[in-house]
Amino acid sequence: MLARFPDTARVLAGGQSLIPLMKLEFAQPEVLVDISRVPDLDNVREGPDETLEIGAMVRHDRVHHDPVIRRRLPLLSEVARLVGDPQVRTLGTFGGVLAHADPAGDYCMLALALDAQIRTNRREIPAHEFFQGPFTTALQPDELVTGARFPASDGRHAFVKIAAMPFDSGVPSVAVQWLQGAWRVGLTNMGHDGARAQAVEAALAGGASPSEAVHGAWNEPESTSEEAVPRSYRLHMARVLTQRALEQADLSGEDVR
Amino acid sequence: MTREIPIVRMGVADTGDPHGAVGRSLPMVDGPDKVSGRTVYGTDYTKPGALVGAILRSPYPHARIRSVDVSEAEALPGVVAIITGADTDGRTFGFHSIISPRLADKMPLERDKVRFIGDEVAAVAAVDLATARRALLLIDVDYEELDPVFDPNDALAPGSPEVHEGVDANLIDEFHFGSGDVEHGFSEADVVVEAPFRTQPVSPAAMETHQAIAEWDGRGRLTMHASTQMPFLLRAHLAAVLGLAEGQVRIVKMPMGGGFGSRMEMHPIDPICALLARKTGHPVKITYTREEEFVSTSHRHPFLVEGRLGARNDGTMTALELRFLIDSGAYVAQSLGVARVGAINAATLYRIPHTAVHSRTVYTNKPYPSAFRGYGNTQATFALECLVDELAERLAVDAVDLRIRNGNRPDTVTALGQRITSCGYEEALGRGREASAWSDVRGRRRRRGQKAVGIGVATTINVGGGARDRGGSDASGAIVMMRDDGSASVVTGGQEIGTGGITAFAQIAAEELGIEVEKVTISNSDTDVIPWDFGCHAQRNVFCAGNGVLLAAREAREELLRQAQEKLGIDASDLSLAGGNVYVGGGPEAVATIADVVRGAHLRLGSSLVWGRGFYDPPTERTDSEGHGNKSGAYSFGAQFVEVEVDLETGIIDVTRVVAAHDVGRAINPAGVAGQIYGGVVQGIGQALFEEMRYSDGQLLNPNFASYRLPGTRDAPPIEAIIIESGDPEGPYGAKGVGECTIVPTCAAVANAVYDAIGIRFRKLPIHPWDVQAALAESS
Repeated sequence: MLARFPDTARVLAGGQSLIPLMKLEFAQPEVLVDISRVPDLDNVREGPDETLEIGAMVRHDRVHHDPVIRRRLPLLSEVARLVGDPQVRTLGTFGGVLAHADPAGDYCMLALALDAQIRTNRREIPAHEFFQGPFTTALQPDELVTGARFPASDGRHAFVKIAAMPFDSGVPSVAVQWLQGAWRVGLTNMGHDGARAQAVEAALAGGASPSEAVHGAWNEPESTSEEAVPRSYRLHMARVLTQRALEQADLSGEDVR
Repeated sequence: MTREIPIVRMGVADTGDPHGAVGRSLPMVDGPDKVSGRTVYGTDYTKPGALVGAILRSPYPHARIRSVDVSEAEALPGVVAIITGADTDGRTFGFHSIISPRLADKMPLERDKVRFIGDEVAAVAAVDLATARRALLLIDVDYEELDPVFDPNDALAPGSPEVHEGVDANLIDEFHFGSGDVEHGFSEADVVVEAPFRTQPVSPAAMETHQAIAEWDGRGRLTMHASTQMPFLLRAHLAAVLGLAEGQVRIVKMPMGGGFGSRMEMHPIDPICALLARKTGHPVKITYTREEEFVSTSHRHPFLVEGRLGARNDGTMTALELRFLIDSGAYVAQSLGVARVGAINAATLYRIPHTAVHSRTVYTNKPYPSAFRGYGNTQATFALECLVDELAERLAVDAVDLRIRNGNRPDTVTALGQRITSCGYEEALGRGREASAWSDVRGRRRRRGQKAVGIGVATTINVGGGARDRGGSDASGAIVMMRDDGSASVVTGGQEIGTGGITAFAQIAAEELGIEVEKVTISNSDTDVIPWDFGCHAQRNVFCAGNGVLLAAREAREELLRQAQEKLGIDASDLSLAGGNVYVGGGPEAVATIADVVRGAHLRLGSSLVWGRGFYDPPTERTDSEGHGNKSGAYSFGAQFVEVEVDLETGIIDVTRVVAAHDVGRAINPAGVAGQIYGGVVQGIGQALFEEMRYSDGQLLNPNFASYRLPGTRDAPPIEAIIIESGDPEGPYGAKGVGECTIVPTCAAVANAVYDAIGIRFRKLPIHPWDVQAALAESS
């Protein structure tokens, strides 16, 4: 179907991003391809080499509650708990967030920070190649996100998100994960290159404390939308929330160093 | 007899007799249909064969309309009619048109000029919405752009663009209200505090957007199905702008998904819909999008307030001066009323002998504000109650004590001539102080982790018994008719906008007639049927319309007792009515049922109907040119105590608990009163902390709920509602209004709590976390 209507069709999964865009007339597809009954898109399973595979149609609420996710990558479960509101979590899907590539999308940030592989109906693409910019991915018109493969880790981690902000505030949420002997630090709303805070990761690897590591780690973030919130505040929040996430993570999970 | 179990709803116990109807937290009579999806709202409703209307709006903040070419749009298949300013006969309208024709400054569709981004230019009726919207894109309007003005200070400057030709310096209105000699008052003061304040435009954001359904009959009579808080005002204004007599217009009021003032006046959607229906010969329905709801219905006026307040060292306030600059946007709408209400309430919250409020209201090229719960009082009270907090600090006295010392008291007359009868102001402050554990938190600069804790207070005076201002009747009529089965039909002009009005009417009628609330039905939607009423606004519904119902029920009751006397041969003065029965002298056994009496009177030769009429107009005065006059039959008071936690790193403010004590005279329905308190407080927290309509060059940047953040469940703190029953002598069963005043003090209480927590004053709303964080960084 996507090949038949390459310019006018959009994939409809949970509809929690696409339908609002259609309502605002930012998206005006003529054909909607509903993938909610496509079989085998809603699996969660352990993959080879310490990985975790999540199907595109797995809804946020299940990402939060799924026992395999909770055991193998509890950080992902915690991220899912704070996606949208209960209605959004009931309908919205894991793959929908990835394909939408919103700079505020928590899963996108997490995929970039953890070097996940995005799966489509034809290939597997590393997250840093899949995400090309705000709302832009490497997907071809007739290509469909079928899921993603994340490195599994039940080590120290934390997710910090300020829910009490407008959706377009641009204030980042922060995820940190101890993975294979090093910290991974991801932030939303910090632009394509800022989603993984490599400067912070490097400082931590060099023995810096959380407060030292976040100090001076960011330049001005890219503008993501209308300037409801001053950039200087978003930058300040990136530092504060990253430090909080790292301090919180130190209290969580097992130390696998 | 079944055992009565005390009912506690929304945490509020009944205050009335468990066998009676008044003072009980009974469920809303329209509740079951609403929660089960049976209620047909205006948006759900349509007429067979109805066309769909859509409106073309100006993309410019200020431009002359050179020409409008609709030929291409008219040729689009499915388009039935297109109208422009040429179809409007050039008549203008405006909420305040009764005061002066110059205040009627809006046309349904503008002819010569557009004055804000979103101004109405043309409209289409088509077979469906998609066709109507496509047609809008084909209408070719030739605009000549004019210089716009957005800032109210700029608008007043010499040589600034004229939003309306001939209105000098864009000044719509200027007045001086007050009493005494304010400079003399300041000369008596030992301490004077002075500060500027700024409030922001916020949207009522009712859940349901506006809609209109118009249909003309074969005799040229118009029926509008509309969601309106004031059906009779809509009838009058619609008739006037269409060149009809009032009797040629019938309004059928639909259940509405929220009003908050936004459905008080006629908006352009109503005459546009009527004009499209007349031109096409078909019913037409228009439903606003959320974006249209933001730009083309009501929102709260932004105020700039320069405030000055003086007191003697003993805490006696001697003088208050407030200077308002009010941005009215592109049209007047209700801005004069808003200014007057803000001025009068601020000047009379305290017993200050010398007051002066100077108000200027100006045009700018922005969407125009109008009524929104609080109506000027919210803005003025923010300034005044923050100033009082500063004064308490300067005087080194407790902020509650200072308010009690200067606040209103029962059976007094204010400096502006308002007769205060019932007044629970001091009790509200006292009980609120105790329940909020004020003295455990206030001034103690407590910390919870990296959060600073503070508590603030603010208070309010509001009209609670109608609001006459400059209008004519402030009345409401009702008819109560007994049915043969002992149940009652109440036909009233009183309204239901989701606030529990009709439940209160049913309780009042049931109490008076001695029947159960379940046996009362309310009809209140069709202006061809219901008696006249001045609408649901200014928290007048239960007071004015409730009194109308009360008078009608009382007349029906007298007739009922007279018929019972005739039937039973017992003197009416010995009879009483309760639980659907007639009793003698308070005896335990019923001597007849009410149904027997009604049926007996009705089903006989020379029959008679047991019914009654009521028409209640509060005994009030018009407000004069200096703001003097007893404009309301009663005044409502309240005090809110707000505790906040301020995150010292992020600047984020959490409201952690609220105690809101409101003097409502008497709670007809305590759970309903508590609901009004909860809702007002949460809406007030939204205005205090995050709501703001943001503009860039006249363009509203956030006309949707993704970027206009409303308070949600997670923002709602525990709220303790304290209901004070001062027993008003004029109110129905002693009741006064409560729907509006509950939002009025919240912003100031939040700002005062933030000061208590971190020692920084915020005089601009909303108090954004980034402003708090920047101020904290600067002060450390």
